[in-house]
Amino acid sequence: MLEVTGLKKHFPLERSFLDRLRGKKEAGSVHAVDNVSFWVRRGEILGLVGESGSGKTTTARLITLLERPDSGSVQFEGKDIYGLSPDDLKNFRRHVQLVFQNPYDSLDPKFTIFESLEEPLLTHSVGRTKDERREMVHQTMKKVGVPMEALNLYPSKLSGGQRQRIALARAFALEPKLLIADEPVSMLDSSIRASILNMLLDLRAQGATSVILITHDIATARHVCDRICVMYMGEVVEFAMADELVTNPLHPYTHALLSATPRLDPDARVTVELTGEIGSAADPPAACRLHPRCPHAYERCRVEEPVLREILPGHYVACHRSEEVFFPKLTGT
Amino acid sequence: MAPLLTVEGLRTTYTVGGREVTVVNGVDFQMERGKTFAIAGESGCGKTTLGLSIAQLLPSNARIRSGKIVFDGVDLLQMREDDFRRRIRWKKISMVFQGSMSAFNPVIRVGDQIVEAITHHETASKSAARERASKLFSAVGISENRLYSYPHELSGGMRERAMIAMALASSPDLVIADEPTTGLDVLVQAQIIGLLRKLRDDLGRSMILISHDLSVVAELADECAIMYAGRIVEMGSVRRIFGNPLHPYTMKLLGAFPGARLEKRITLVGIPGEPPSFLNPITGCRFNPRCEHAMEVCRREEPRLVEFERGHFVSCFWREETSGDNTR
Repeated sequence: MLEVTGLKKHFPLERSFLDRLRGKKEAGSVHAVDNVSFWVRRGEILGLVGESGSGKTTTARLITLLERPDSGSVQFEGKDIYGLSPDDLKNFRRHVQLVFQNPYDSLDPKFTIFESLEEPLLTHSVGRTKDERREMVHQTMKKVGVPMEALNLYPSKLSGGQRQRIALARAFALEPKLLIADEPVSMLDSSIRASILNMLLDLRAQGATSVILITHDIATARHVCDRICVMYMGEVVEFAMADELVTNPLHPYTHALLSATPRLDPDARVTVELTGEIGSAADPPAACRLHPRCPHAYERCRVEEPVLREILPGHYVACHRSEEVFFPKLTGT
Repeated sequence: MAPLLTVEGLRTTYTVGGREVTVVNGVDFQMERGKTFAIAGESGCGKTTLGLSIAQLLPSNARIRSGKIVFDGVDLLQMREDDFRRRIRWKKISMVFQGSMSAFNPVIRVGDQIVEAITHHETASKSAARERASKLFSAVGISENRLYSYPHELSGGMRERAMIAMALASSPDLVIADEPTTGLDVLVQAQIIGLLRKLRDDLGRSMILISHDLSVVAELADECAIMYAGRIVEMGSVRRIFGNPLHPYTMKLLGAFPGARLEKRITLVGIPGEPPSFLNPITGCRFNPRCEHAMEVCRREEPRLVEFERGHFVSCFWREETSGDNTR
């Protein structure tokens, strides 16, 4: 339904005053997203997982037309979204909705909850009369489990969890075909998080909405998503079914991410498999971006960039050494 | 051996808009030397205020109304403020704050800030202090030339390490770490967890870990107290609490956490309702409006923290009643 191919976005850096005096022409650029490809099926939840600076939010902004890419294409239902006619564009905006991380900023403080929920209906001329729209808003409120009394309140009167429910309700009011949720629970308490994630699952089950869930937490993605796409420094390193990716990671970065994720078990121990820290995206390592930190890196990783390839059916990895490093474990020899 | 720290009936209040609200409401616990004791709970449960009460770093609108904080045999609440500052703070009890960016002064090099902290609290020469600072930096895994960096030049993980180095500067008996890994990326968090564990295992440091993240608590702590709305609802060894939780809140909280077993997909279950607000205190058990086991008595009376099994405390009427049925 959505197909992202070779997406690339570099943000140019400002030249500093000194550099200008010295007559330096180029200041370089931040490689936010580099050659990213993945696709979303109808009705599935896809997890976009990565640390800060991995390019997951920029990818979301590119898909929702908040940014233009330097190159690459995004096809939504067979049409390139960067070349949509004005009519198609309006249609696209209706069917692709975005929910942000911070529920305190994403609702207009001067709108009551009812006004906030009615606005997208008005914008897209859904529901002809006020009563019709009121009925639709009531339906949405029921779906997300916020009491009707909240309709006449302003966002400041609601808790973070309730606001995030409203933000999701607003996005779902138009029954979009694709919802992109950027860290929708990372600012909420853990007792509330599970309810919001389950709401996402319920809303998906009720319609044919596909969801892209952007999160830094592979544990959350694991329990909520059908497939997971792992990003590192603006590139996709591994892409597979959630079950497969977690039980059988084939990229050293995914493996390290899983080993570093704390479990709820007092006897389990996190381990650190990568050395150092994520570098600067303005000057990413050549060839494989993980090679300076990777325990398995060898000469080839320093000179040749690995491409995303299908190692097992439906399991894509960008690593020269996946088979060598991980297959012995697979077969148990 | 006598416990390192005993907190008894601690009650801390804040004055907000002319009203006094109780944020820590009758907390009792003990911790032993060389152990990590975790205080876990969601935002607004009073865990940070409890930490600040022990470190005597409460903001000006907060007051300790009653209780005792006995540290190494001395009641800190009976001590004069300058006495505490001279003898205890930094030397005996130090704190690692939440948000390492705002905890450092942005316009002074980190090395100078650590040297200043040492020379301010001890009679050490500047050069001796600088030497100690560089030893501390290598102990927490930062290269020594980073002493000359400004806070913004360090990555989040390095700043957190520098904070920990600073807290260790005077070899305190107790380090209180408030959300030391919150806001860090997973791989950096794993490094900090390793560092904190090393401090306990190799150097025998005692630590109070304040965290909302139960998976970090499971990694680091020996003992753990779960707080809800200003009170401890369950307390015991982490093995007991994670293996056999007794309080409905703890049980639910563990079920809402995604970290459990990654090998199998599980359905996360949220807790209905909203976290309580100190502005509208609940009568009876604070958890009763969200609890599926709530009984008549839970709405009326407040349960006390009782030792349910050896070393495992819980405050819950439902648990007391159902356990009676089982043994009979």
